[in-house]
Amino acid sequence: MLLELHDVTKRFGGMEAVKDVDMGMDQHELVGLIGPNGAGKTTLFNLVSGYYPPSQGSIKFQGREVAGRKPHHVTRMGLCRTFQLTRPFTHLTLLENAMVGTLCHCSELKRSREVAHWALEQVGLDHRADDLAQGLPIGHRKKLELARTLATKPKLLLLDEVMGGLNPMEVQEMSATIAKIHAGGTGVLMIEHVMSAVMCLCQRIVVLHHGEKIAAGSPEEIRRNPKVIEAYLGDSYAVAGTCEAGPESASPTGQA
Amino acid sequence: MDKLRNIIGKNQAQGAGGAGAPAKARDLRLKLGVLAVLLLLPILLQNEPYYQEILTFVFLWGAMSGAWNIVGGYAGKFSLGHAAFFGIGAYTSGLLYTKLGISPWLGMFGGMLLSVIFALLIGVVTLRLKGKFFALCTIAFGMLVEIMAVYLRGVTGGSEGLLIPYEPGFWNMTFASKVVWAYIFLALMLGVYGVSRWLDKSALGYRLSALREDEDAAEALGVNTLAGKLSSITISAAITALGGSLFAQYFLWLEPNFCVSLDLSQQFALISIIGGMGTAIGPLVGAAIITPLQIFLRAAFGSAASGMSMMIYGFLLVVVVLYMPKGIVVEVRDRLRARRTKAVAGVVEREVSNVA
Repeated sequence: MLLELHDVTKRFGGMEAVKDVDMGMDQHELVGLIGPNGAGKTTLFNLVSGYYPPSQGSIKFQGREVAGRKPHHVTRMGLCRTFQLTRPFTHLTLLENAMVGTLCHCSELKRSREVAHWALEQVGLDHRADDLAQGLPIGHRKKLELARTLATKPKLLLLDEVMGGLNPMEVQEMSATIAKIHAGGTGVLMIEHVMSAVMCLCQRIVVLHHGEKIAAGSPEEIRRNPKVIEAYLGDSYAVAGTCEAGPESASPTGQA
Repeated sequence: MDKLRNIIGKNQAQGAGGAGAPAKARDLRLKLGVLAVLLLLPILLQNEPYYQEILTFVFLWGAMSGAWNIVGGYAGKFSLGHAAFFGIGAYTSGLLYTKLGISPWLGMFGGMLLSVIFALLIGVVTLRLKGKFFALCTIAFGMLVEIMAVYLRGVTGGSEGLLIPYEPGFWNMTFASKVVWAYIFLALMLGVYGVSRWLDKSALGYRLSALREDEDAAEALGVNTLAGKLSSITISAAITALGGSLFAQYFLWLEPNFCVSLDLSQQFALISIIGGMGTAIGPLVGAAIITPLQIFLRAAFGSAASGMSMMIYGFLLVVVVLYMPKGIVVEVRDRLRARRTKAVAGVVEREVSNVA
């Protein structure tokens, strides 16, 4: 098991943002995490990546307990997350942004610069390596956010809405990039509202609603699950949500 | 189309890097020129003690503000208690010398060590605090040390101050010639500049830039933010204490109201703010402007209209902060860069129309 959540609960005062969630991820899985706004998806990410301690339950990454560790420690263990609202270091160049990530496993500057270039290449930003991260358009900011996490050489990536705000073409590009990263042997857990992409990319989907896990299964099962349709997808989706995206983003093992 | 892309790519590379081989050579020549002037100035001003002293203080305050900048600018932790480190350095070596006869050359390491210990103790507790709360805590720390220096009369001499005997000699770190001091403080300033330049292009420097902008995002990328902040305050405190020890032997008189005061802490911060926080050269430029200005204003209005100098000084600060909020160095650099980008854009446009 790459990631194991057992009975995880997070309370803020009297409110239970995440409630008794059990879930697991195998090595090299690509799992989607969906649910309506306020379902507790990002809170779950904050728990797994060490930003909040869980109120109860255990979170194990590669068999080691995450709870009680600082975020930087979790990242060094091989679990790295992106933020929904992108947070570029605006005074640094794109390359230096990525280097901040590489430095966690490589203190030699020359080598870490190479890894940073590689990470930018993965998302197609290497041609702008020497530009400052200030004033980037949203599509580039999302790519940079992804490149920085890749630079930490993660075994498991948590992606928080990396497709939010992208146009359909950028969504396809991003899907292809994620498929490629996954094909390279990295586990991916992604929060996403762009259903066409989630349904086509993910091998398995977990659905949260009011902090509780209401369903888990293959995209096909999720699409037909009445509970999920009621809570999130809506009636029309069962018909409309077919894989109409391009061939390179359709296959989760991705050859692109 | 490929041709077009080539042109754009080529020009972007020039515009972004900005430092082709000729530009780099020009940069180096400029730096060597400035260095030569700095090395000559103390000798040229040998017979002008007034200007000689101003120059010496420019070097000293430039160095001290540069040290402050390592934590205040690079790590973005706004300290207003750095005079405490300065005072700890000054009093430690000064007391070891006057009471126990230990050479200041050794005593200054004692001051640095003590300062580092204090920095770590204070840092572990307060560096978790954000922005203004950290600043408030450092003010409290500075006042604590100042009060201690005043009340421990038996040791420090209290408010009357600590007089260090004038016995010229190398081991006493006491020199008859002021030129020697100008060079010592110049060396200190260049050393601080060197440390800052190293930070600009080191792993620690990148980590500090990241955590200064966004601590959560830095943590997500594996940066141990507390360790980074502690490293920066440790380096900064050690250099500041070294400056304090040297100042003690230069001035030969230590007084809590000056060398451990909030005024001094503010001055360290202010010089960097005016010059440009987070840059290696900013504090040096700031000191070259602020220090002479302060001294001239005090001399010009000191007796006739006391307080006038502070008013003019304050007014000038307000003007600079309003029109150059990022500091002189950063503003000038940004404007130059904007102009260059515009020029590059022009070239691209012309070549594109040629291709078309």
